[in-house]
Amino acid sequence: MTKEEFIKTGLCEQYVLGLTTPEESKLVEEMLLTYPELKGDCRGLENCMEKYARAHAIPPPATLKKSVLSKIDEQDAMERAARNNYSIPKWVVISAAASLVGLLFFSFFAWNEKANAENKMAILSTEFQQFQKDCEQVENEKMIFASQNSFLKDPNTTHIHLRGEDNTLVVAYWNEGKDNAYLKLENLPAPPAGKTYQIWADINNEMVDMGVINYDDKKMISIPHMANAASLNITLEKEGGSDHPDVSQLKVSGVI
Amino acid sequence: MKFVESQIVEMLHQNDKRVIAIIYDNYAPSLYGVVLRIVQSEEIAQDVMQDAFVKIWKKGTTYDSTKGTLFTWLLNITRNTAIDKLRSAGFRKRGKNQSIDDHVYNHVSSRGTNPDEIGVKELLNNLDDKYKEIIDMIYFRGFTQKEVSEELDIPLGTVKTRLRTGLRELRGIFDVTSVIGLFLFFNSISLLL
Repeated sequence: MTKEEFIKTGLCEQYVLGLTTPEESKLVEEMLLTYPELKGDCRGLENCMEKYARAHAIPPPATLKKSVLSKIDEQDAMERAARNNYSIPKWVVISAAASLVGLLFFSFFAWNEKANAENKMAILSTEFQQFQKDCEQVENEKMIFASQNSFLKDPNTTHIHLRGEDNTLVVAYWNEGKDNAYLKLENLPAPPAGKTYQIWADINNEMVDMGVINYDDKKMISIPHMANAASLNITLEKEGGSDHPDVSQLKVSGVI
Repeated sequence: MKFVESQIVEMLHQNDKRVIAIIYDNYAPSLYGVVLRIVQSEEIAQDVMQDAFVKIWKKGTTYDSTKGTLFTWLLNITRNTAIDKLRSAGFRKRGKNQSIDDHVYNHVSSRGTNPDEIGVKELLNNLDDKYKEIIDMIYFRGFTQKEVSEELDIPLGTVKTRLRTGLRELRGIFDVTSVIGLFLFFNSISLLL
């Protein structure tokens, strides 16, 4: 389209008045680019119409400006609210991620603490069980000491000295009214390996077995009480004890 | 404060919200004059102005100054908003016999018009009524050329020709006012000297 043809179409006037279709508007814009002199013409028309509108201007009510501004603020606020509904704000994402990391750290810390606590608990539990055992043992020993004490303090308790070679001495604490008696090994030497001491009661010239002695030269050793025993004799026997005493191995002996 | 069009455009493109008040101060009376003539109701006109300014604010960054002046852009948005409002309200009663200015000024006479424009209005009386009628129907009331043709019962070609000629005449009138304005300006300066 030539410049002259374009002017004849009156598209410029229609464009200025907003009467052109989108296609026509595009054509006008292209023509204005191709023929810059047309632009001046078009602008002239636009300015003319602006003046025409100004000549017919009517001042709106004074309150309208405020309404316009607040309507725009309202719309902006609504759009912001709508946007916030659809997309999660950055700070929420960041704080959620931070919380997650924090939670992981805390979980690990808590799990670690729990494992530590369980370990300590197990140790304490073992120690407590051991302590209980110790207590029981002490209690037992206390009871033993108490019964030994009452046994020894009994006015009917007698001391029987069982003597052997080289001033070897074993003391028996004997009480006819009791079911048991005690031995204190004093300076009896420890039995050689593979051997054990065994104690015998002489009842009606018969050597009656009173059991093997668990060697301990510090403590009182409990032995049974034998009624009608004339003497107490300790022999060295093979490990586990014998049915009949080896008289050649008689170590100490004492008359009741 | 007077703002140059390029400053306003720059603010629009930067989404600077202060631009709305500036546009309002500079253009609202001209736009309101058009809207009120289209919708013929001050209440509806105020609604239209609010909606139009929301659109202006939202579309602000898309305005392309190479395609037309800011005022043309503002007026097209505002005029289309007004016409849409009329259509959606289901009343499009725009009789040709109704005198726009009679109607409008009955409503707003108390507020008056810009005194600067009074001289121009008198000059505009020089514009032939057959042109003025068509220009006003299209420019102020949103008629299409086809609608004008039907309304006035004249051929579409005649409408187009009259519109073109009318606009050229109008331009001539404004060019004269510019010359007169310059003349008066220099006159007052020479008087001062």
